Amino acid sequence: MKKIYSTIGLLGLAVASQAQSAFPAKIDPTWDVKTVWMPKSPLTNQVIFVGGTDVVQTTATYGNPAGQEVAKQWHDYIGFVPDKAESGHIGWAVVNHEMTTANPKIGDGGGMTMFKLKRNKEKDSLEVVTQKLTDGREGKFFNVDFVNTVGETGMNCGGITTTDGRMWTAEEWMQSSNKGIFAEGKGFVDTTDFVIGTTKPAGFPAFNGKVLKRFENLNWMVEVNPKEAKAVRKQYNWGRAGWEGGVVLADNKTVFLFEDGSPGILGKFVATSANDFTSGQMYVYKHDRNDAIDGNWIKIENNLDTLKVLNSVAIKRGATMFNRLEWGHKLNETKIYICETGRDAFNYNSGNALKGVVSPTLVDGYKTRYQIEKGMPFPGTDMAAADSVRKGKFADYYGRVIELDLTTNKVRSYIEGGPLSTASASSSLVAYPTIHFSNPDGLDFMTLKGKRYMIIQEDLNGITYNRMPATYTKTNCETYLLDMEIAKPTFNDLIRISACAPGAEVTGAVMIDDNTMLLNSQHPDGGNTPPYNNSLTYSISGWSKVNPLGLFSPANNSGEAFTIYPNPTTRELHLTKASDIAIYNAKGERIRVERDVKVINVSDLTAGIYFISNAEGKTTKFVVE
Amino acid sequence: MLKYLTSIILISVSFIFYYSFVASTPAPHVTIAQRHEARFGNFKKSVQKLEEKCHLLNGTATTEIALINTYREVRIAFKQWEYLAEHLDYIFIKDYVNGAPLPKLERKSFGLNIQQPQGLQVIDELIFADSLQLVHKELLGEIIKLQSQLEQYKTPQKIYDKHVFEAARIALIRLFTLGVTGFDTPGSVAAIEDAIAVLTIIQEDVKCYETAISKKDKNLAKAIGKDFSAAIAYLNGNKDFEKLDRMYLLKQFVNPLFKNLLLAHQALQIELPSESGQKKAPFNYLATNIFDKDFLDYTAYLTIPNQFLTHKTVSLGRMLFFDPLLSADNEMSCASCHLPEKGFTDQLAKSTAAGHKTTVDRNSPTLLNCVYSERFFLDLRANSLEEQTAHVFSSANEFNMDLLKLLKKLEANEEYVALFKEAFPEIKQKVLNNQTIQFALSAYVSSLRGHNSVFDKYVRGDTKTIDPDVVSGFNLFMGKAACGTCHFAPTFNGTVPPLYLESESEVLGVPENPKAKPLRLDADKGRAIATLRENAPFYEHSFKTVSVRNVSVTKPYMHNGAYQTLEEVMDFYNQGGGKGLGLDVPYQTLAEDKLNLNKNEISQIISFMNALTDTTGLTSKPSRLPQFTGKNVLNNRKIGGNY
Repeated sequence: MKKIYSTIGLLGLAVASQAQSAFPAKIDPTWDVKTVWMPKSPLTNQVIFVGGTDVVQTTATYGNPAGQEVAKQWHDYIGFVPDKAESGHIGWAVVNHEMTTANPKIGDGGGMTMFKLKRNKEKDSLEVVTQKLTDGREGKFFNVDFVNTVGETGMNCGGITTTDGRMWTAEEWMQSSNKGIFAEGKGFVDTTDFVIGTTKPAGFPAFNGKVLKRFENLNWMVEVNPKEAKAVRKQYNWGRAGWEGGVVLADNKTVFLFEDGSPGILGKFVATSANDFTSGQMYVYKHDRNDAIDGNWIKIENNLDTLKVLNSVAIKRGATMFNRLEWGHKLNETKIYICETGRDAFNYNSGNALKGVVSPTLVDGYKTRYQIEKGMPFPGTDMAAADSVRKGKFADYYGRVIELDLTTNKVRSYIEGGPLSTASASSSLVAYPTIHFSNPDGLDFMTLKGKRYMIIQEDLNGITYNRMPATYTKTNCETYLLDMEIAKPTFNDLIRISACAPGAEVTGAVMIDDNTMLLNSQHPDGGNTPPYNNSLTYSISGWSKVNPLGLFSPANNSGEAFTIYPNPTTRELHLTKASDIAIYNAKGERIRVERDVKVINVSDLTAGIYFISNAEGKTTKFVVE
Repeated sequence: MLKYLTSIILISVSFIFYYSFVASTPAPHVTIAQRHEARFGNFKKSVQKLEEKCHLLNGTATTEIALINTYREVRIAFKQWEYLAEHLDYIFIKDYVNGAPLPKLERKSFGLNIQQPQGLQVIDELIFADSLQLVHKELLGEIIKLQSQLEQYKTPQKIYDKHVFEAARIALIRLFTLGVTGFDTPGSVAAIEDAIAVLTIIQEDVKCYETAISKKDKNLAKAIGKDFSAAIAYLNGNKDFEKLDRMYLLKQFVNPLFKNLLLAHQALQIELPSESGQKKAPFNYLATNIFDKDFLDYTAYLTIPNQFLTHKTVSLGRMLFFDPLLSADNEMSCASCHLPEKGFTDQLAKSTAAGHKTTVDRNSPTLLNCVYSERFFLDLRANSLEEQTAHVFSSANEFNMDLLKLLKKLEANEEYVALFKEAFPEIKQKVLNNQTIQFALSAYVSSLRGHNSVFDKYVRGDTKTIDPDVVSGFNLFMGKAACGTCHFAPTFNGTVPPLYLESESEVLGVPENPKAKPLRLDADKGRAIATLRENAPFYEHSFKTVSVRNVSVTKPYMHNGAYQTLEEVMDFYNQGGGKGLGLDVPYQTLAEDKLNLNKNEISQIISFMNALTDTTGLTSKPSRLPQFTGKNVLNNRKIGGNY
């Protein structure tokens, strides 16, 4: 009898809801059938370095004696050099600072901070080592000295670290005038001409004595000595451009450089002899060239006047034009993967850009989009597709990761960002998908139990076109892993690592050993627990305990229509079918409603008891440990 | 028993009957999604028609009238689509459809990339330009640009009940703060026609829920229907832009609807924005009045973890604020330039710089209600209140203070160390650090919020009467005088509604000295020299739009303190800013046309601004400062310093 009653009650509920499931604001929390457990994450976080708070050891600068100063802020790239000599020590980390400020003790412009890590076995945690450098500085954190060695840098963003421990820093934000960088004393106080080899000691063979306007001494790759926290030289022979990242091959002769520009170029430098990057030949990539000697590359003469305006010279000579290249990494010396982050509205149909050629990676992107939107392959030639891209018919909302094959010197799109919209017949977007990979920025590799994964970090250019769900007003950039064994990856193969971002966006992810990843936190929000501010380097340890198979959602083998599977590593709940879901707290109060989802990010739920209801009114108890 | 069963069966049958009946009419959100799609189609068609009419322009009045009439259709079609479209994807609308007609910098760019404005507001200005013939080509180009954007655009597929209620309430804020002020109709001034279209369409959609709301609360459903109809009727009877009584509109219709739609949303147990996992937003959805003290969630503008926004942190911050220990010479405190009794300004054109010899570069802005901003300083150089403090510490003209020395100074003061420990109990590491100092200071500064001015109380209905000049002044401010198109309600600063996410700056062309002859533009480049990223020509002489709340106690005015009285300020605007005064201001964002306000109107606007004063409970100073143990000359330091 009771049974009939409750059926009628349920029916009544269904009537009131009228198709869209209404989840009552409160439920009776004792009413449960089944319990799903979310075990503790195998990963643990530890704060290592806080910009604007931790103190760096400085060198004597601008007349101030060597001493201490609060570190600069806005962390971006992390270069890491392992220490194989000293037992228990992991190695040296150097963090790039993107914030451009005048500072009389650290130096004007951007900057870098170096520190060394070791593992404390008893506490199973990391420790910053107290070091004494050869210049006499002693402490835990060290400002990398640019001012007294090579002259200031602008805005340190990306960089290169070689297997042998050499390191370069990049600064993508191109500067165009002394007045601009002076910013009435808030940017760079000294705007006098810069004489290479005279103004500062680190000269450069073949260019010593050459005069640069002060702003022209910015935007070169700069080699730094990570162990001594000192800049070595500005790499004038690699050209001045909006460089964001690069790769050095194991031959210690060949360098690839990626420009964050639209159009942005791909550069290559080949040193005359191994380990000496001060002499050699600079090239820029032109995919449609087939020179008997230089192949797909255009030679750039070693002339400072040419090198200081490399982007425009290269494109004038017909270089391949990419759309904002960001960070890249090599795999097995045969392939290089680079983030091409994309740009919403662009065209290469005026001025100097008319002389360059549109990158095949953009052609790939345009054709993929065409296929999805029109439901048929692009009917024309690649040339026609390139022409459409050039004319601004390709709004590159999502970007992609591209692959440069070093054996063929060909580039292609390796994985396109998404989500893409449905066929053009409908003017609607697909429902906001589970995976929504856009505007890749940071890239590295990691190995989990012998399997290679690409780590990709987003830096969203916008929220439109499903980069964020409808009505969201702020971006939420995510970190993904991609199994490198997948032959033709799409964004559906990406594994989101929510655990990497405790409420903040991250950048600079780098594996420092098989167990630990270092990252930088950016754009936090007021709800975060301290000290998750926007200038923070922290570690995530425990990767050696992670079974890569466990990163994926477990298969559905229960046969039930609606089942929940927790994934403790990614802090996600996976549903067997897309559904409307409500989460209730232990008191039975509704705290979250998600519509039409297959995956729920529960990284913000503290340990405790919850209830999850689906659209049919089925409720499951859910315990976060 | 049998009787029992029969009745149950009867009930079930009737339920099943009812259910099948209900199921045959689609759910409200499904209907509304279809309508939204159709409205988009309509809008696109109207723009296409506009293009045709633009092609037909031949200098005759007939073709021009045909164009203008079609443009009115475009506006109505846009406004019918707008309320949901804006809510679902406001960035698209802002960038391509209805953004301000001013150049801006590309977001997340890799260099200085200027985005030229496009969309309806640019078209609006062109269509109502002096000569259509002169701008014919440009107009056609803009229409085609808009059309191609709309052709490519895809609307989000799923619309849920929550979207409808959220969008409707946000649309009410938009309608009142931007719509009826003429913000997005710079040329046509078709603001009231627009508002009617918006209200009509929302009423139509909300009607889909009428039965459901009625079941929960009959009176609520009735009130909503009645208020929509009455508001539309009122606007239909009052189409004169200059004469519209915006106060009446606000109190009679906008606020009641704003409240009742929330009650309906809650009554229907539809999920609230806080349940969707979004990041914290300034607009507090649970507010029931646009002039409520909690209409904006001030914590959304801070990066301080919420657990630290306690009474203890605020009180520690207040101590630091008044303590000259923070400066190198132990004589300057925050309160040196931000005096509570002077509305947290110093009432000087430019504050005295450290060393007493010169002044700092700009006027000291009030800190009252300053938290409601995305960016800080008059040139917008800091991204948060917390970051803002660091600039004051390092400035040679201000505290000139090495942070490490400051930490040493404070650490030597045991009372301070104890206060920091109490305020930040969760911090296990060194609790007295640069970040906690910033947290404490900005916890205090963000507590300086006043929402109980004479004006606020009247709008909310807490008081029943008000000086009629205040109401007239408010109506002018939001209408004819166009003040409200930059000083947005209810903060009356440059934080842009309806989401209040972004701070605006404007180029006004303020002269160096208004009394000098010949007049010279003030040399300060403002925003253009604030950060390397915004070094753009159109940001030269651009300054943050500050609030007009508390102006009665914060003279003198403008970034350089050039104007001593509000009358002088009003005269400057009445003449059309620097350009109107004959100065060469290439990127002036203030319209250079004269406002044609008469003396009485100016005095009414000033009465309104004077009615926005509220410093109650905000001006107290600490009675003592933390003492050093033992004998220390610093124990005699003056509360607030010696500047």
